[in-house]
Amino acid sequence: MKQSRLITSLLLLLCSLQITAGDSIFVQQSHESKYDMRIRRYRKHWAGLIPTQFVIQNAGNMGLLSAGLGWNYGSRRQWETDLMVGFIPKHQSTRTKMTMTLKENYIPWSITPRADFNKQKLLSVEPLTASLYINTVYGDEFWKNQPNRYPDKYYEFMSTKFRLNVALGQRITMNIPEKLRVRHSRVSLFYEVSTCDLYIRAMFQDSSVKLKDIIGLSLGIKLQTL
Amino acid sequence: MRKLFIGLSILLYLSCDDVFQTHPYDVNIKGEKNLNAKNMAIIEEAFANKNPLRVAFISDNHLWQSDFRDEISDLNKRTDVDFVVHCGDLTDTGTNKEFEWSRDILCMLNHPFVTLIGNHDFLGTGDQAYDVIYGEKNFSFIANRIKFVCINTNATEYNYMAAVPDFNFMEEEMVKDADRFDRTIIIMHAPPYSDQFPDNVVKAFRRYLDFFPGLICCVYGHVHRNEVKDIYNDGLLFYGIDSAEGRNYRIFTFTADGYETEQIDY
Repeated sequence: MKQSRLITSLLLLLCSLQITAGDSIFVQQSHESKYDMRIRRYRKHWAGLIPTQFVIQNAGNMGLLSAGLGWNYGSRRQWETDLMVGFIPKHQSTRTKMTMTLKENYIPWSITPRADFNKQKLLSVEPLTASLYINTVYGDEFWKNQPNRYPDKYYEFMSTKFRLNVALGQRITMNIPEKLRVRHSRVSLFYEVSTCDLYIRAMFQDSSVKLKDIIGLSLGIKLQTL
Repeated sequence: MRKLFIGLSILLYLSCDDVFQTHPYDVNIKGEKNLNAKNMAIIEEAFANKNPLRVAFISDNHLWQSDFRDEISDLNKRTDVDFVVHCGDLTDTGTNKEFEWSRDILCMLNHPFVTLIGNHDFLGTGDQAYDVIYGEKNFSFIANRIKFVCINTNATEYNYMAAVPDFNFMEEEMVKDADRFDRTIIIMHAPPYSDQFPDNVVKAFRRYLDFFPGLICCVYGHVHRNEVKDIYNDGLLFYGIDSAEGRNYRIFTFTADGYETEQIDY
């Protein structure tokens, strides 16, 4: 659908170019060569890898602060994938640690309030975001799989290095008016409430561990470039 | 835009506090710290000449928090217990949160307590959290002229590349404060011949024990069973302390001429 629309508009553009070309001394080539078409597609495919957003957020079992790049996609851009790098301060441990996070967000709805202050539709609200993310922490204290010095299945849980986290949150997004745009088209402020696999496991093991004991807040900003 | 962004970033950074979870292994311990040193000072002062001396041994609470709470409240009902020794595995996965949970339950005790490190407490940065909350992994204290020597035996956690069990520490403890004690009790998390105890020093370890004045017995956790074993078949008794899930603990009563012990179900 999108492709056919693109082709039609390209054809229309070419037609208009031809019309003007007829009046001028320059003659525009009427057909895109196979090479040009391939290059156009090639560029288009690689262009899909350009990150569409920049994200920074604190806590969320990813470190004190994490920042990274992300991509949004889907018919309503309701899916997002973020790749973030964070750090855990030294605190009382032996050193500062680095973390990396691969995060998938699903944003089912975006609501633009119909109010007087929002006549220009600059503001929208995303009432729910659901996220699943894998965090890895760097350092030789942590192992991906149980090292072979242990008997089989010695520690039942999977890894000290990788954590699977879940989060639910909300966002408020500001559409920057076109005249005022510098680098970004939209800015979102969000919060998330999250927990990780080890804590959920603890809750299942003992009923006295309550949900409020294992969840944490995270605040963040998303800057939408494309 | 950039100024706003930097401003908000700084705000985010500063706002980190309890509601924010940095990481399960961030070793950012809040609340009580260095508990073993504090409690040992209390024990040494209060029970220096206490006779008979009554000591409760508990172990391996892992994530059985409800059972562990019951255990602590059962111990609180007893007025005849002088202090409590926890034989290790305060956590299941060594996270900060678990360390704080078990510490907060332990701190509900009306009696002084000391805590050994278990193998699970080493996971991730767990051993560093243990150091902050409890202190040294090898330690000793004296009450009723009995020296309680607590030895870290979790060698597998170091991939056998550290002095565990630490024979230098044992040598020092045989003679240190010799005028203040005549008897010794050895406490550890993992017993000899267990998966954590290094096989090739099991017999050497036993030989070293003979140098401790008036060796009474050994106490360990790790096995999640209440058991009494003559591990070396030479008359030296090893008492295994059950986990919190097993809902029992052991009380030792040390008198001038010996000791009695009983298992308490709760």
